[in-house]
Amino acid sequence: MSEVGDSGSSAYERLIDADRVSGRLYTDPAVFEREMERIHHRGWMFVGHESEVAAPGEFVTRRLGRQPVLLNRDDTGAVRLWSNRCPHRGATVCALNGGETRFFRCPYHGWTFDNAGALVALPGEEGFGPTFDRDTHGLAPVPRMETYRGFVFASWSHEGQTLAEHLGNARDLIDRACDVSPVGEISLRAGWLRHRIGANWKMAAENVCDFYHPPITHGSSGLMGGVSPGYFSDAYGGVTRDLGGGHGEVDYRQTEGGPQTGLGPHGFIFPNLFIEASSIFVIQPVGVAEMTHLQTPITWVGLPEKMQRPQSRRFAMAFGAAGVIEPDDAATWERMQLGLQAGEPEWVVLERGVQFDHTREGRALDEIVMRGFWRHYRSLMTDEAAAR
Amino acid sequence: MSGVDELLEQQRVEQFLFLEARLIDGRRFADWEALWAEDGIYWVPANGDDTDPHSQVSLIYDNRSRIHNRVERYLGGKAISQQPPPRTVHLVSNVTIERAASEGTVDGDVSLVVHSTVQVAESRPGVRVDWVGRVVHHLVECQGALRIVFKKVVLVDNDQELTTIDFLL
Repeated sequence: MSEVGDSGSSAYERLIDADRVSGRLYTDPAVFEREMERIHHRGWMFVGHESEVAAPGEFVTRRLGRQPVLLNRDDTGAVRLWSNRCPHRGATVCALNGGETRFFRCPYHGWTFDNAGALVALPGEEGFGPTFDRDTHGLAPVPRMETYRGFVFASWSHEGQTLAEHLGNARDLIDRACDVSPVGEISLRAGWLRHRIGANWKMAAENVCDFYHPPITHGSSGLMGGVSPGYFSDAYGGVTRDLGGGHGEVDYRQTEGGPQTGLGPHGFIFPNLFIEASSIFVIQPVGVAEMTHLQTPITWVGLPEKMQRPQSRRFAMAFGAAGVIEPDDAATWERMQLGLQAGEPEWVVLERGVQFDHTREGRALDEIVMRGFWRHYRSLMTDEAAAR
Repeated sequence: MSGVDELLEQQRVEQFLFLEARLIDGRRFADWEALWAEDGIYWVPANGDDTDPHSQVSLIYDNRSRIHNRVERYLGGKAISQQPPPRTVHLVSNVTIERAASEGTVDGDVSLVVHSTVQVAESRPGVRVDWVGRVVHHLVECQGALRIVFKKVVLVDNDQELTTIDFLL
């Protein structure tokens, strides 16, 4: 099988139809490289939440696309996002998942940066001569960072859409997640579980709004016992909604006694953020057949403790590498990754509810959000978006 | 406690931990569950040795009914991640006993705090992982038998990215 990834736009037009996509999009390393360049390098991605660095000096390390970054709050209280890379010779300046510090010191030659990124000390500075300028050797900020209601998004591209343009209709998902709190604010300070899964990142992305799978994949889960048996059926009244821009949601607000009553939304913000009622998930691509799924429970500021605790307990039970839900998803995606090594049949089928596509809303189990994901993906992987 | 009694107790506790390992590796999960007292906590912290399980995420923080759910899930035949089930071998070592106060024990019996280390070899299709951790058991005497009221497994890499753990540690 020849590689398609770098063979230009026309190849991708052929691989993505309205209701089916080629299995090669999950298995071809060249496709992955093009995604990293066109989606995870040029576009906006969720990187973290301001509450993770609530106090001056606090920091967390992440990857943005494949690149290591450092999110912190400086001594003046400003949230900052840096390449986690010493501008001298390239070592990471921080090796921890998180913590609090006023200074980051490179382990190689001791170049030391304050938490506003300025190079404040280096051994043997005089040896660099009179023209050496500390000001041009500070930590490199990620080119663009914007926040919306505490959610920090960033892009490696110096130009392109604004965050507001990128979020579009999906801004409503963030609003609803925050507005569960009486003061409209969430906090993510419970730490993250990091689950390494041997599957392509798009499988996790597509799974967010796939309500066709839970009765099968999660049939063993005790948690399903607490949910109405009809929940995962079209008759129950939920709606899948293609929000445009690759974003989408499953919405049960109109269903009396529905599972989302009083909780946040269930939706996907392209390409890496999943807001799941009471949890936040981040889809971190690692390689064409490898991802990390990061997960943390939401705390709603101002909501009584007893209303939060059941959610965090549910989280610990369900998610992460050792939960009773997540391992079944991971096993399924890993089996998809294996199965798709078979090149025949070429297509992955996404036909469910295709008759509703003109309304951008389908029944609970329809694959409308996946089709929206791929439509947006196609525009980024071809030159469609640039041509508009 | 006399030296002989200490030796006997060490022997009894070690045999108990070896039995637990054998039941897990033999997939005798109902028998494993029977090693637990009526109340209990099975805890696998994340992101450190002693992160507060009430405010911070844990990999596992099961109360007694969740321990039962977990076992039921393994035995129920429906779990996708158990098709086929992962095979495991537990190596238990470095067993030391610390005598604890009677707080938190069933029937007010004296509990034992037992420290050990475990290495778990896991095999499933295409995957072979070695898991290593420090383990603390709180054991109580219930009607002449040792029972677990608390088990904590601190994986050496619990602050790193981890593959699926769908077996008993």
